[in-house]
Amino acid sequence: MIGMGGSGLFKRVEIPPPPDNTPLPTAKPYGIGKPPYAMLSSESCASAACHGGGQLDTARSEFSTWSSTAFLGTLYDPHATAYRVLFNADSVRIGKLMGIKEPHKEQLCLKCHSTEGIQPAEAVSEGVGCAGCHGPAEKWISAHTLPEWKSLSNETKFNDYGFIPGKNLVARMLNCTSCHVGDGDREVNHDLIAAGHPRLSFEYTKFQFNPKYRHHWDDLPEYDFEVRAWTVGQAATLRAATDLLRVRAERAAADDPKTPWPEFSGLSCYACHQSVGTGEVSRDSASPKRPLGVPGWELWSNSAAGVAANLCPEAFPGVTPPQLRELAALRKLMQKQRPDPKAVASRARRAVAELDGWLAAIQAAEDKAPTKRLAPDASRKFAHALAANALSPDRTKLADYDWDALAANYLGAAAMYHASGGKKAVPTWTDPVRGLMADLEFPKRKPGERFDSPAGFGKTARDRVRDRFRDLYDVTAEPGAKP
Amino acid sequence: MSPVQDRSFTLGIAVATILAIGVVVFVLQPRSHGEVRVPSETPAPVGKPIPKGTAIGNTGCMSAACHGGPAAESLAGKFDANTWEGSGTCWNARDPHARAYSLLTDKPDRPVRATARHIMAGLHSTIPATEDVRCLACHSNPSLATHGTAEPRLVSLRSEGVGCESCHGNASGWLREHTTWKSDNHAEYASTGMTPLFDIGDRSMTCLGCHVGAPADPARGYPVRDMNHDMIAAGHPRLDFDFAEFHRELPKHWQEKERTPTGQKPRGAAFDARLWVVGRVAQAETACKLLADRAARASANDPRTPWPELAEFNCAACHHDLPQPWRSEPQTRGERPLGSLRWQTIWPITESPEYGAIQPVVTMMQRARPAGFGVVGPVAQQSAKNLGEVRHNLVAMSDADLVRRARLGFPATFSEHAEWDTAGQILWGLAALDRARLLNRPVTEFDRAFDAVRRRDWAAAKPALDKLIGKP
Repeated sequence: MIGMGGSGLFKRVEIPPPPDNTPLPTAKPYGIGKPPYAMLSSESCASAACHGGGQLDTARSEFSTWSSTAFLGTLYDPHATAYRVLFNADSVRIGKLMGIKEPHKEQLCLKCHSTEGIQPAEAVSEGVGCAGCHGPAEKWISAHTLPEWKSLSNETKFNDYGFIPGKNLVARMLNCTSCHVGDGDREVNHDLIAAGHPRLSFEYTKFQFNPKYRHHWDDLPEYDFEVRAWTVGQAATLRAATDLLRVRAERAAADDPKTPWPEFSGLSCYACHQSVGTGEVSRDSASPKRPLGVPGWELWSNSAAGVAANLCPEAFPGVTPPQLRELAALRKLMQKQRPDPKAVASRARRAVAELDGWLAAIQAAEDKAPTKRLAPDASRKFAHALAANALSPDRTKLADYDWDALAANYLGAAAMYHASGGKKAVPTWTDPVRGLMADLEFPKRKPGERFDSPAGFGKTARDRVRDRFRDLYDVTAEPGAKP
Repeated sequence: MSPVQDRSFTLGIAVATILAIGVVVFVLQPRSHGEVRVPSETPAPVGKPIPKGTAIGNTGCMSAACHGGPAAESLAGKFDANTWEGSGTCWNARDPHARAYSLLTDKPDRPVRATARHIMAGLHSTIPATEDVRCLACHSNPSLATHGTAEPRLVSLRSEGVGCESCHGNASGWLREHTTWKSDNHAEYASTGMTPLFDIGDRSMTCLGCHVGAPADPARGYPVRDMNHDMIAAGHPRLDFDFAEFHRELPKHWQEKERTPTGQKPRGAAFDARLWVVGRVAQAETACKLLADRAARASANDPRTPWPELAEFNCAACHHDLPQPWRSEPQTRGERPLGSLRWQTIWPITESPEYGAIQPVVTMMQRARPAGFGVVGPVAQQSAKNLGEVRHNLVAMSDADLVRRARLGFPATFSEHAEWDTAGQILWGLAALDRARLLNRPVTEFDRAFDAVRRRDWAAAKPALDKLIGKP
């Protein structure tokens, strides 16, 4: 079965953790960490002759298109309002509960709701401006206008100039995840979520193709982009989550009283936040390997990553599928009755190195052939593998009943549906994919009210989800293959 | 004594001995590791005393002339000085403890949501529940619980469920003796190993040993009794105990009376309120002991002891949906940091400054980072000790003082604490006060409050609770 072999990630056999002296990949992708240059405000970019041309959706008007105020009544880039939301009722309430008087002056909030370190300081009000995603412009603001700029490699642009080469998906997503997942300096932990902050649930294609997101760049015409973006997104999100676990574990091992251990926001939210005792036993619909009663570690970023790893060569020809054995060992460690922060920190460090090796390989492949067309049925293979991944090996049950795990597989499948051309190109996928979305959506209440959890997600919904994944598995099977 | 009398006396002893052996079907002797005494295949030589603290089984108690007499009266809720004659019959007929063992088998005596087989499958157990010491520890006489297969006679004893000796203590030391005791017999109870259940403090601690859990007690041959989050996740119902409420529900096989140095007298008017307050303090004491034991086992790296043990916290602290706007009730949080879990509510003990003895434990467990297993133990031990003293005082306290104490359980702001785990306990407390004739509210008001809590409609629950206590 596609997606179940190869990496050993989701195999049913017991894999012993690799010994501590197993050599790890030494390659690191560029794009990690903050370049040591000054952050310039978006005003530096927004002159009419540069990126503030004032023409919506056109080249040289990137800032105008991004801005929430240049064209009223149209969609914009939500990063432009990142700072402004710190004044809304939710933020005020969160602040009150956290003992923060003015969230818009609080570093904890500003680290992600503005461009950290922006100069002048008042420029925090621009939200996550140009520098937030493109890097500190001190060294490249002039350089990037010169003809020579285009001849520089992405790696040089980042290492020597502090420019984040967003064209390279790995470099791009390493930057996205530093806020949308967290890093050593920024995190949305359970305290903040308990105060009312939405949980972070980053999946790159879901964000990029959010209908409310106006792009200020030209999307590549071919659909293959989404296959590659989903794959890189899985690797980058998992890397960020693993590195965040490392940081938290190191703090906990040092007995930092302010670091909760285990940190709940790193576990599956709805493993706990679900109604219980309703007469249904969730494990009857699935057979996860996780011990009962133990919330899974980062099911959101772990559950579909095995598919991305196994099928990586389909999206990035020439890249060897990574084994990710350190990661498997880390997951096992996190399922223990008493996860030991020291052991977790050390294993997470190794798992990050392993993921870095994978990301570096993808990054190099991308730089070598950024627009190479993929095999015509790559997205079908991914969708098929994701459906299989959501189901037990005999496909009579779900592989995992956890909402996060199901959502991770669904989001991948939805990206592949889109990449395959959607309803026109693959009409038989439409029902299962749309159905999964409907079944996994949080219930809607009266206007102004909502649920932040899949309230009422019980046996009926899980059975339907299982059937949809089965249908998807069937319609995405290799044409002519035996059922 | 005349020779004839002497002979008949000797004969009497011989007959009594033979009868006793007959009654004591299984002669029991210490196991190799000396913890639990279980029946042996070969009877001990006649005349060798059966060690104190050995289990005899229900058959030792239930002969027609002892506790197996008619129970029509007690089953109809009428109790008098002869109730004891049918206490075994009453227990057999209606007491849920009689079914406890059957729940471990494939033929439970009452419908269950998750069968033992289902739960054991969830725990990836390779042996059935009827052979697992964790299950037997509470679903039969704890002193008979061992791990693995057992010989048929031991299985037969266990299948009696939570029988006479599970609560009254193993009977070899007092089976004959207790038939001769007169009123004030604390000393006899202590010397023979019978549990003084007439003392409601001891009674509550006996119930709580299973209904909350308890560390191993090698002196009695009891294993650890610990029903944790793993088992709940596998399908075991949570333990949701209130001594007064469960006591009310239990079919009584005894006449309730106070034992004094001069004789027996009816329980005081505040008895139901006393049951509640004593039960609550005893529950907090038991919870502290269990917490200390869990911490000790975690420190000793016991592979079956998680930390933090999620069953230590309010279930509804995590298990709730997240509706917006506002998904939690900040007013119930007090000093507890946001996002931390509420350590099990034992209303009013864990909430009230009146019971300072437990506050160090509550504070430790409700930190953003719950205290590690290395440091909790001594604090929890100390709290348990202090609470034990409070419990003793409460048992002996005058009715007037007790009533005052019970009322303190409902301060002016009590209804603002309503959330799932707390509200149920508050209602049980109010019901206990009502039974003690301290509230005298119409039953419809209770219904309304119960209904609001069941619907988790806190806006309706708060005024309904206030009304019950008589708050304008």
